[in-house]
Amino acid sequence: MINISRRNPWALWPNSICPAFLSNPAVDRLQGDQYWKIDVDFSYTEHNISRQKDIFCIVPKYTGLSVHDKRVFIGVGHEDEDDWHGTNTFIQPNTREKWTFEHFPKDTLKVFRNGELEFEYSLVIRPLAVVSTPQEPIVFIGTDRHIVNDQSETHDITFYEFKITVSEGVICHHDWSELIHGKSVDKTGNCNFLYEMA
Amino acid sequence: MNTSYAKVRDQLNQKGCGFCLAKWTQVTMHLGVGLTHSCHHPVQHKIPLAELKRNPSALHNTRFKKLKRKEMLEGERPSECNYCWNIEDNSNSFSDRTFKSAEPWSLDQMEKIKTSNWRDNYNPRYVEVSFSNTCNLKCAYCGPQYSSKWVEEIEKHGEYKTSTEFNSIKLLKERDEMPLKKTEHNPYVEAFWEWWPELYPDLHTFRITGGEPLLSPDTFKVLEYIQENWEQNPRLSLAINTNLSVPDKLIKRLLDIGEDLVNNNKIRELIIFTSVEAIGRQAEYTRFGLNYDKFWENIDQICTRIPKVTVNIMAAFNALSVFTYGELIDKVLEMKGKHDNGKRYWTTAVQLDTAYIRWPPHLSVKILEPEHKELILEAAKKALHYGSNKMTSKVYGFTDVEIQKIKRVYDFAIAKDDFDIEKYRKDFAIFVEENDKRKGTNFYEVFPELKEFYDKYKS
Repeated sequence: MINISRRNPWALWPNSICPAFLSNPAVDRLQGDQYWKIDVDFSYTEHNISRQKDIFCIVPKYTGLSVHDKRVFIGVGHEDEDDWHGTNTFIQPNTREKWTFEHFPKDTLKVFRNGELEFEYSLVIRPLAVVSTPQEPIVFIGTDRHIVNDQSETHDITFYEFKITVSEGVICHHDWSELIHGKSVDKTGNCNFLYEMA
Repeated sequence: MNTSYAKVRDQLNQKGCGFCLAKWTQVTMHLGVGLTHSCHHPVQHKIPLAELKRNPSALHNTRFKKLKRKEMLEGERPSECNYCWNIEDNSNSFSDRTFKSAEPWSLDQMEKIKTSNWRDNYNPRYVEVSFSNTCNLKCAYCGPQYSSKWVEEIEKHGEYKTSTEFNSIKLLKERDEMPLKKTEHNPYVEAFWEWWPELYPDLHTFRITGGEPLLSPDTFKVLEYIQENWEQNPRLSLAINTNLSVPDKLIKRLLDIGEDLVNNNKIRELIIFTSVEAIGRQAEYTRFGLNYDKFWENIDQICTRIPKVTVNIMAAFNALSVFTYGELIDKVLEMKGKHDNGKRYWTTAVQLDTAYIRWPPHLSVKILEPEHKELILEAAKKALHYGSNKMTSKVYGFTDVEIQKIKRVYDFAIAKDDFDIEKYRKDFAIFVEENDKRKGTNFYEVFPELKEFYDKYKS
């Protein structure tokens, strides 16, 4: 578990440090032509509740989960442009939520809340983007489009678990139980670490 | 393909397919033996004393080397530079001919050298010098050429009875390559001092190596010369290789001079190179004569007293490094963090530059059991987690290159090739048994992790 201030989000970008080290980093699997699943287990606080909190997002094509004034927003990063879906789902602060994004290439993006299918987006006509270097994918966790001059160190989001599964199985798993030099150690041993942008 | 290197290669090829600026612009001189070469690929050759009498710059400008330059200027490829020709003939990669010619001390000399006469003497811009092999350590992978302590041991006990006749001095004697003793007159050092006033103003980089250079009076003589005459070359890049295991008074003397040179801008930069590749007793076993704690005290002192200096640890990763290399990485990170001040010549205070040893083969990581080789990967993973994070204010940590070089040791260790593992494992046991006898060490105590392995191959 980790308490995250929106000023210090976490990033999954393991090949940013030593590009030749990992032959197949997890971020490279989060593509529009591959099966993948992301599980997040989190809660958010009442601090800055009127501002958008990005629970997680894959960039540069924005796919992810955000909360703004308790309302859930889903980003879907298509090849042509990102879609931004304001939903009618509201989640409460200080309540633990488990969400899953499951991607079936060129078919659907299914979004589950606490194990139940909540949303489904067709990707048949407009698949998710396939991103290649130098614009490799990065996953940010616990970011916020905050006011730049706001320097307060509030606790905005609590993360309990972050997990990426692909066709071969789980390739990246974090519960922040082992931290080294500002990094969360990947429990799978694949070195898909997260690091704190402090 | 990198266009700037491609451009340099094109410029070189305009003169000839074997043309390389390093033959003129750089030199490594082993004055304790009288050997020289430009880059490290061609074998060193003996400096003829008759040439030195007429011309002290024959430490670099030997007739032998001038004939190689002639070949280069006439479009031929000297056979001694085969290392590069192999790369160029068998791949699209750039060879060191291009890389070395593109170095800042070389590139701006291109036109001047192209139009030069092969008979001309040329003052190199990059000079590496070893004044003698005087050294107080006997590192397990070193030998008589670079350590007077090894000479003493081999003269007393003979070479090791490995398949390679490890550290035999017979061949050195046959080739007239035995290092001169400290007490003997050294005509090469004498020539160096005759040449030095002319050489110094043109230098881009000057690197002093050994033996242990701080045990050589010539090292301090050079440093004091630079202190006095710095106005002739305030842009000098100065590097010193030292084992940091010499008496305190010598470290203090180095620091006093270093502070003066750096703080008063008498040089462009000062980099200290040193070596260690394990921790504690295992490091002391590998580098016989080392005081491990003192070694780190000295690094700490350098980084504290001279806030611009970087200490580069050249780790010769070998079979005895695997068990504690991870802890060495911890220590390096600690020092990087402690001395991170944003003022260094290089980005980090302490740099870990890992290379694997190929010689002697009985100390190569290739002899290890698979589970021991995995420890190398674990160490590389640790360094990766200690990497400098992007887009953060915490900049200290291991760099891409530092991490990659550790990973490369693992790749080398597991690579399949014609390395004769069984033969060199037996050699390893022969070496350890004899080493313990000669030095009074106890391998079992220091390396309990290798007890089973050692027992298996011990005679």
